[in-house]
Amino acid sequence: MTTKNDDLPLRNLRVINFGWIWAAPALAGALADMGAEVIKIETGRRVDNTRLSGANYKDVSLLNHSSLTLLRGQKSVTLDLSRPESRDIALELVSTADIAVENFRPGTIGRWGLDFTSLREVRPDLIMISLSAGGQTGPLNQITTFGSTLSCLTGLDSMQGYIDGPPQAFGTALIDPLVGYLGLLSVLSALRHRNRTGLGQYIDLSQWEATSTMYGSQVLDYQWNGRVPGPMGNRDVAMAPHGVYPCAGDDAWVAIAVESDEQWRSFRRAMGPSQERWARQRRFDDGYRRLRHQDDLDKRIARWTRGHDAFEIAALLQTAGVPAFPAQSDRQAFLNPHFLARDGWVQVQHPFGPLTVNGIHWKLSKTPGKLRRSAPVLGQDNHYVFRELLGMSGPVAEGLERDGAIA
Amino acid sequence: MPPSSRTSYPAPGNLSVPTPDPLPNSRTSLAGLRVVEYGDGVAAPFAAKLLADLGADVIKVEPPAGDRSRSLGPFPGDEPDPERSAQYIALNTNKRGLTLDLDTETGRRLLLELLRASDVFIENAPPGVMERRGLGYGALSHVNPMLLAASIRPFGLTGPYRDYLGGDLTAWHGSALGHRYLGEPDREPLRASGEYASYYAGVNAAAAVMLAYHGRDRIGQGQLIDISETEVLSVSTLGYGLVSLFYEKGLHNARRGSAQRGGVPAAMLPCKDGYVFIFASEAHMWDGLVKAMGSPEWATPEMFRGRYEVRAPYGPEIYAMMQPWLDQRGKEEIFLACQEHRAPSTAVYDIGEVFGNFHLRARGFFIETRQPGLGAMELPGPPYRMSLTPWVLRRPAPRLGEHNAEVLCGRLGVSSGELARLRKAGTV
Repeated sequence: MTTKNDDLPLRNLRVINFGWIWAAPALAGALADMGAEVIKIETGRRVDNTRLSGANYKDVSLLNHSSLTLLRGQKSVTLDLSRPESRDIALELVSTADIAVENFRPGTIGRWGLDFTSLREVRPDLIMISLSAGGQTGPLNQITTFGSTLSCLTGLDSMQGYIDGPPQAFGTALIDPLVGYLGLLSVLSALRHRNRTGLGQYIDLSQWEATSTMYGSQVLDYQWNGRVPGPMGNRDVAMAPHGVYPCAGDDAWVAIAVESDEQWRSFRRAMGPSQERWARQRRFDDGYRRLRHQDDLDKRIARWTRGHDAFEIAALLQTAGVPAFPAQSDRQAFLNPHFLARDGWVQVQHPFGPLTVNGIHWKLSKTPGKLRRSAPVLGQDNHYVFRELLGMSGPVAEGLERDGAIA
Repeated sequence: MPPSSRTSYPAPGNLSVPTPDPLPNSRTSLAGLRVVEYGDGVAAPFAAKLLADLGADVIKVEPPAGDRSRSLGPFPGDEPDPERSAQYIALNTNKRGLTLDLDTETGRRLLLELLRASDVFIENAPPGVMERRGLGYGALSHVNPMLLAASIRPFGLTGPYRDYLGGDLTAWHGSALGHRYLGEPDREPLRASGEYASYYAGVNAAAAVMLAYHGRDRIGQGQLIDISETEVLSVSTLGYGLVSLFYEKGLHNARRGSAQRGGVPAAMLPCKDGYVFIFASEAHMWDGLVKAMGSPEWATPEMFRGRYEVRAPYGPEIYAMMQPWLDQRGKEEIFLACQEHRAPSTAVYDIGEVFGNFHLRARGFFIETRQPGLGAMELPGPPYRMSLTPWVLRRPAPRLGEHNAEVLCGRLGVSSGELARLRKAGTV
């Protein structure tokens, strides 16, 4: 991939990532792309789910398609943290680090003697973030969730679904990267504070709360008007038409959002003379009327879109100044020339051959970051970390391996 | 409003919770960071709010007609009033407000004056508008080479679709997340609730600004931060893992309702008073779920034990056998019973239930604030608790142009006579 500048803004930082699954690796991976040395501590005793779920890439065990991208840029060491000998090694590692990341159930890292209070003793200016489901305190602090189950608690799922239908769950852990990048923001702001004052700190991120910060508007509506929103399909409270319409081809759709009366008039013209008779009816003239007659409006628009290609409809409407874009399939997104032109999907070298992964999704003009290293296999960096970084002798390292601490 | 009822809940574990350091110089983490926002709707205002909540000094610049959120509501009693819009208030607390007509020469000059002495600029104008006004990145970096300038666009500043218009709906569906993950296979893909794509773009813009901030520390220069609403969502969420599967193995897939691919159980299911999400991917989670259900005979066969992939072939049977247990119980009871046995299932709460939830209440998540003319109200609080530099709600959302005099005269040295002329001309 092309970078205009090789300056990596975080190149002097070391991050110890105790975390797993998706939220913590998203946070740590973003730091790695910007130059931080990220060391992931994991164990073969209870393998990170990210390495297990789904089809393994080229059948190399413990290195599947998710971990290939989620753990890219990170180094992997194996330590069974439930073993007392492992604690000292972890502490020694943290004493050389700037940032620690974990997302276990509250209390877990403390049982291993690796809570913030202990880590701060060996690294007084440490920044540590915990990303737990419900936060470190409170009656439900012990809950375990995955992204897909947590989003249910936040109110998100209750508001999505077909109109008058049940709530609809999302097919993957949608909110994991959301809370991961919110965590990243808090860590980067804590880093600014540390750079100015020399002081580290502890960050308690509740994934539930972090997600619920998106619903301020709904929370006020509830307090003022007692309104509890339910599934809205693809509709909007103020705009119509605002929907996803069928197009020519298998499971092909276009999303159209008409934001104003002016855009409606452009939309009407763009559909062409064959549609003009119905579209010029008075009951579709202004936004209020279009909202009231939305069912009929949507049916008529679908009748028009059905015969056309989704990308052609989008181009036609965009030329007329109306927001529209295909509801792309994953395949279309992966082959989309726009995403490719912006390095959305990029090829990297992996020990097992060239590999396509997601690029860096924010574009910084002068310090863009870099995909520097493919994902490690389990324990790939044991030698570097234990022998070179911590200066452990060969016999000591071998002994720890035999005893099952390095495992 | 009734708080969420509860009967029992898992006991808190033996925790060592760090207490905030009572240090004398404790303050906010972004104190002194000067941010100017020219935001409309959700994405840019949310990005700037995240920075404001961490202590940045944020000036929100609005056109004389105001941010679109002011007209969207919802409003108390459904009476439209630009100073009483829920979306506007929720997204703009902790900011000062300035109005400038950027379609006038004077408006543009005043904005550039403001940016000359600022660290960050965040805007989400439609494609081409800022460039036509002579306010593209070139002009901004000319007045302030140290500026971190974030532009949020439907498709970003480059690439074939850079001029395409869009909003939350097109960004969400353009990302392919709806087609792949949300909705029934025989119906249209669905949008995630609550303008997810726009909020997500805001989070990513704020994080990217802070990455650029540390970049500035290193190279001594400002830079342009180009955020595509569609792309950040697609690349960072859909792209993880799946892109390599597609390119190396040709695998792709589409939505299939509220049950997840992967394994069983992993589905949203109805219960006595609503819905729950039943999930058990690892062996001990299944064991816990079986215990929570009272170890019914149907659930105990050895062939069901293990990771959720092994149960995948028995999905319809397992969900059907589970249903009577669910039908007799409320969502919160099921949620808590499962959690007590380490099964990560949850209740599907609506907004009212979230607002009254005992756990969020115990943590003091909702923060009371007063908005002039509206009295007390509660807003969602911190997305994270920082032990040394707390998240703070310092000021209400600004009224349209509330801080015009303060900012223009105080910060830019505009005389009161000139301010009066600007007002008369409609520039501010």
